[in-house]
Amino acid sequence: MGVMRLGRVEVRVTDFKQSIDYYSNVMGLQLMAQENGRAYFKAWDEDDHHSLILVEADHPGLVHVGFKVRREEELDRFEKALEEYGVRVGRVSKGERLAEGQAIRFTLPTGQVMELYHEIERPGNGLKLNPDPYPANLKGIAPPHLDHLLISGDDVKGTTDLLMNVLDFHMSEQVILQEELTATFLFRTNTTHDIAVIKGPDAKLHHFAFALNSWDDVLRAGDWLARNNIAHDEGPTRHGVTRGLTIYFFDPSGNRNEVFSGGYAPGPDFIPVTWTEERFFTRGIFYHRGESNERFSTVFT
Amino acid sequence: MKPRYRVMVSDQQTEYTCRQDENLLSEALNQGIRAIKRGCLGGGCGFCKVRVESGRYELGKCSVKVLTPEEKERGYVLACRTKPLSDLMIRIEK
Ligand code: FES
Repeated sequence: MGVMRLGRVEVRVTDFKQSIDYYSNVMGLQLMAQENGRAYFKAWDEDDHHSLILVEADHPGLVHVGFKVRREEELDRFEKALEEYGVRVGRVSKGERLAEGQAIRFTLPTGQVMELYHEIERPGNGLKLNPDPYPANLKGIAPPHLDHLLISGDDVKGTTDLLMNVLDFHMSEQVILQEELTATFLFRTNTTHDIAVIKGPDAKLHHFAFALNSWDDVLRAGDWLARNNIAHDEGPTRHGVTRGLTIYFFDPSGNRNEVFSGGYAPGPDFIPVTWTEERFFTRGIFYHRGESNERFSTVFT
Repeated sequence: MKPRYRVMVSDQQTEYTCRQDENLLSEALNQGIRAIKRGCLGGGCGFCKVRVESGRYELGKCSVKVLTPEEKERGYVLACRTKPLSDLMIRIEK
């Protein structure tokens, strides 16, 4: 019941054609459709029609983030709960974007637009009857699925409170600097984060991440990115926070992407991990290097 | 071969050459020159913003959030989206 997972991100790009090429051939997602100035992609192991939507604009960044709920009726329940909490909720009608049913839409205290939805066309991953472990036609990095995103804003506490108390997210980790809540890592699945929130400019995106299965896959992704001259940001390395294995890099419009593997498998009763100023900057962000670059900590789109 | 132009970094006493069909940032990086800060290489982050003090150039697509029309008018560019059309004098302002 409730929110199942991060279902989709809709992202602005400044060069539509180049971005389609990048997400198809470098990231290795499947281009499902192109219609009305939007391109729709899914990762190979996802059943739903798309998890990434690109839309052309004069600057990069996040248009909306969508979480999928278990049942259609739950949209009414969440709409009511959000309104009781004091958040204005709108409706997105079926067919506004390709393959999607209706959604409820609201703005987080940190400024990002979030949607909850259930209905979306389900072409499947093609591996449902006596399957091989993965399809034969993969190219590029080819992550199996969308994993999480990191958003920024001033009211980290507000967004965290809404996600935990209205949408029933659980906390895996938090960063508290000089007694101020600076970042939170929240999940509905059994991974370390489906969404994370960090102190920074309002309504911005730090990155969205696709999942990989192993450190070896992360290393190979790094090879592929270098071969294709993709603008690198950090990694391959390990995070202290979440223990994840990672590389950060930029899409052709400057949206930061990540491929992520590892971490641990928390349940709803997980006791959250806390990072403080004593170790967060040295071992929390990038565990090995002990510091992060200026670009990583200041570039948001 | 496309022509090469001189790019002088006025506040750092650095100089390199840039082909007309390459951007100022990638050419600097290719030559091991780290005068300009490297970000997304996609005109989206504003990390590579510099001011052109003299010379002609062609500016490609830039995010309006990191390079405003007023800045453009005052000669600011994103180095990763700028190709030279003559010798250039640029300044890196922190
Ligand atoms: S490096 Fe990001 S705008 Fe040039």
